[in-house]
Amino acid sequence: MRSSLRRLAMAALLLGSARADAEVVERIQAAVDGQPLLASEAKVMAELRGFDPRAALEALIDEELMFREASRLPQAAPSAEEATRALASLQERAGSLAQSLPAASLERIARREATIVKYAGFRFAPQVRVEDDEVQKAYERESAGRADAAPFEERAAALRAALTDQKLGERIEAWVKELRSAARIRYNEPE
Amino acid sequence: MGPLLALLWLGAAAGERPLSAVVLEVPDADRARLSRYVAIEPGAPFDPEVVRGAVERLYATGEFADVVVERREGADGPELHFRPVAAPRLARVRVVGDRVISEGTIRRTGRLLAGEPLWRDRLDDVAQSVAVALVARGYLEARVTAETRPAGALSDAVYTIASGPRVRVNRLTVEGVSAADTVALRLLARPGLGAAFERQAAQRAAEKMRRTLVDRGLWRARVEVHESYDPLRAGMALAFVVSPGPSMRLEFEGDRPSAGLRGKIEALLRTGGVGADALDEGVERLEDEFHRRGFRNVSVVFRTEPTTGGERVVYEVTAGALATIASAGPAGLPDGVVFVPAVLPGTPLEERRIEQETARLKTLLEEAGYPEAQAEAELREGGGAVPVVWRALPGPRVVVAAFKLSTPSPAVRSDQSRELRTRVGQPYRVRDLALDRNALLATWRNAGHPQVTVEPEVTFSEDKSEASITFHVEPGPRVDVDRIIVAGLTRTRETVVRRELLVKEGEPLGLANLLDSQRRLGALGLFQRLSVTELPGAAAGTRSLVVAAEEGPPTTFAYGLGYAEEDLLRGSFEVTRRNLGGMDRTLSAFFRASFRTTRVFLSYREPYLFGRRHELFFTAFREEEARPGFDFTRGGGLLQTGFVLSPRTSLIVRYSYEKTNTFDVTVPEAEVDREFQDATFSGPSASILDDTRDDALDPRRGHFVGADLRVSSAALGGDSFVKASVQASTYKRATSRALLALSARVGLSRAFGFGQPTRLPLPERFFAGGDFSLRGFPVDGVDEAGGNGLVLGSAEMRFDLNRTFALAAFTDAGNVYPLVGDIDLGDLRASAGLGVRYKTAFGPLRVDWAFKLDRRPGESASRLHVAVGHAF
Repeated sequence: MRSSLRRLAMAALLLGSARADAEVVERIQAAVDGQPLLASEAKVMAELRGFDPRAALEALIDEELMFREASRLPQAAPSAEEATRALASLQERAGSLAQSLPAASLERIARREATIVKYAGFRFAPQVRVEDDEVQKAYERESAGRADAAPFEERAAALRAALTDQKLGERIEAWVKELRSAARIRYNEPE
Repeated sequence: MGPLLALLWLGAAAGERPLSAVVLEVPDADRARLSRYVAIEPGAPFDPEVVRGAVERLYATGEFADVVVERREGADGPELHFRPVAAPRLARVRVVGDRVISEGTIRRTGRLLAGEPLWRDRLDDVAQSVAVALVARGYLEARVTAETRPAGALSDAVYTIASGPRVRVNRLTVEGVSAADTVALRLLARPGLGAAFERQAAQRAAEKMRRTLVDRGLWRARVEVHESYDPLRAGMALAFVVSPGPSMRLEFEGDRPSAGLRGKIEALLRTGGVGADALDEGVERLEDEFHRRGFRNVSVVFRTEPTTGGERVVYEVTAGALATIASAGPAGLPDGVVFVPAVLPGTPLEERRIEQETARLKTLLEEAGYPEAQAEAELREGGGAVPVVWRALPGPRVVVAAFKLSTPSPAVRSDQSRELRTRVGQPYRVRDLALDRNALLATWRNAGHPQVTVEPEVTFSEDKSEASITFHVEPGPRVDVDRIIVAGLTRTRETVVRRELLVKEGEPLGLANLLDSQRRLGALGLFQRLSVTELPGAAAGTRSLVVAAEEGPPTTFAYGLGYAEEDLLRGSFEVTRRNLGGMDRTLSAFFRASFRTTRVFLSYREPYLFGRRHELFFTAFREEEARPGFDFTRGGGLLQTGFVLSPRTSLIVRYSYEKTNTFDVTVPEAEVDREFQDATFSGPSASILDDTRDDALDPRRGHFVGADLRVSSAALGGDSFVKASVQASTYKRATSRALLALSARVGLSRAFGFGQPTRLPLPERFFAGGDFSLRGFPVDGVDEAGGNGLVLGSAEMRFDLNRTFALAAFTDAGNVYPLVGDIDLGDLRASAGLGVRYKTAFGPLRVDWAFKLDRRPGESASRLHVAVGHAF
């Protein structure tokens, strides 16, 4: 009896909500320098990156700022081949999730990522230098107290790459901070 | 579980079923305008990308803070509801807290317009601007915050101001100079003791002190302002710290430059603080002058050295031997190429001119079809009379043997080839290739292909005498206009903006059309700011355009003060209301008064007639004037429109009705027969103008020809007469500083309806004399009764003394005749004179003294005129 009542209540709840409620399929969650960022985009970002809704929105804002800045440089525009490769890479990373996400959104995200990566390569990569002693120090930290540590010659290249990525990441973070400080960001609160 | 399953099925299938309705939840008045941005029809399937585009377009109008799209299950199937959330709009500005700044000032500072969207960042920007303005006024601790508060359907922008104390100057010192100088400089110190602290005023005062010291020979003087703020007392101690530097003077050793250049170099060193840049520029100017004089090997060095009481800057100039051009001519020119050097034998040999002529010869050879041409000047070193030979090294002459355009699709315009400069059989020119490439790029870009590439391919024959040219055009994808969104309008109707756009929805996005559209919108004069940005279009290969406009104030005021010989002192005031009804219509009222004249005009302008851009003016007026021979009042109206026949020629047609009453007539009674009657003009008139002058206020070249014909008819309620006049002026440069201006004017008129020729009503007659015609006479002074015929001619030489002053020598001749049949060129009155012009932004201020060349008994010998603007 109790379980029947519970099922009835659930059904009533669901039926009631189906009649009265509308499904919000789109809205503007934020605007960056007058450019709207839509809820559908934030949802795709959340699902792709595993973010909560707020973090997804902030990530979308960062990407929008970077993309707009990167788009000013004609050399940063990805070629058709680069865009195709970026999309394939994104679909691979998304795995089975890619099947359920709108194709146009994935293309847009892939193109945006490709533009940003290309721009970062033009602008920041030449500025990043990893000195030999930094690699040495990183090796010493990694291998400290480990008898089975691989020799330095084997690890140097990987360590240098990791340090380069780290430094590049720091530059990009500083760049995003700078972009944010100059941007006008407006949020729409949920209804 | 049945209903639940059904619900799940409905939910899953809703995205695939066509939409039964698309609803835009906005007021009825806005629905038609905004629906064009949604562009989703019932029956279409739900497409997230299409919905996304619609949301972006609605947001781009600037009217909404959010656009919520809901999918609801309706009776006939799924429905899509667009629910825009209006952005808060400004009702008025309010100030809360310390009322140290008015609402009007905040509105002007932030350019806030009633009805504009109140975004958070906009409010914050204005708050920051207000805070900066308060700091500039001495409220150093001012804090300004902004918020919106509902005010009915709109919102007030509320600025909360915590101004803090107004800082005042409580101590003022001048340091670093003698006691006497301290007293003198202290008089220049601002703000004064006890006055509100304004940083900019202090900076200006420091600069004034510095210039004072520089004028006294202390060219290296520096004045810095040191501030010391006491927050407890809200006081600022200002110290003007002076570093006077030594007393400086400039000297020259060796060969002496001209007095003018010496003065310019001194001025350069004074303004430049005797810095390294100023000293180097002095060297360059000296070298330039001596090079121009023919001293090819001039050497200029400078040094600074102490003297008693200061320092001196010495420029040591060693001019070297003077070189002049003994002879100048070309050599090695191929047939058909003519080169005449623009330097004359006997003139100073200037290396720069030689190089210019060499480059000119090379260009001439390239134009003649010698793409590998070189040219060199052969001349010896040293001074004396130096022969100069320009030797041409043309290389092979190349002719275009074949030319084609290679495009994957048909040419955008079939006559495109005809517009290109490259032609088969013509000389091959690299410059033509570049120009044609640019022309092709522009054509394709304007056909909607922004990524077009044009690469010229040139193949030469073995002997390099022929070139085959192919332009490879890769158009790239075509971009069409999806939607055009107009944003930012509060008063102006969208129609006014859309009718100026040359880009159209559904047509290619042409670059030239886009730029022309922006130009046309700017020319309306309605907008302070205008921008056109792009959004992705709904379909691939399309872009939507957002035309965002910030409207200017609808009402403007103008006032003026002036002087004219017939009016003496006069003042004017004009108020113009633009954009009536949001349709770019204009209403203006103009009032001018002087000791002798009063004029009132009310004018209405309609910019569009019958759906086309064509201006129509309606003017009602009333004027009163006291002329030498009579006074009159005149009132009436006129309807006027114009046609642009060519870039320099225009036709103006009018219909006028004017009623004139004359009184206080002082001309002899025999001269005045019907003139005591009121005169009425009613009829059409036309003017045609051809104007090639470079500047209407101060022309330096070109010409102006104007012809005017007026017909008044009894059938239309007026007196019957015809009046025609022609005026022509031309301006030609005689030398680099002298200009010859010539003018002629002929006027003919005839009254009808009388048995014998009769003069026109008094106010309608022609008159001569005054600051804009025969200058040896006062206004109307040739014959105060006027006449039906007029002949006038003037010649004037204008000499520029410098950029500000000019002299003039002129002669005027002419006369007025009672009737056209009385015109006698042997009976012209003449005057001549001299004048001075002072050039202002409003035209030259002119003082002319003219004397009669044929003075008659009872007439004054001469006349002085002061006026603004040239006589013609």
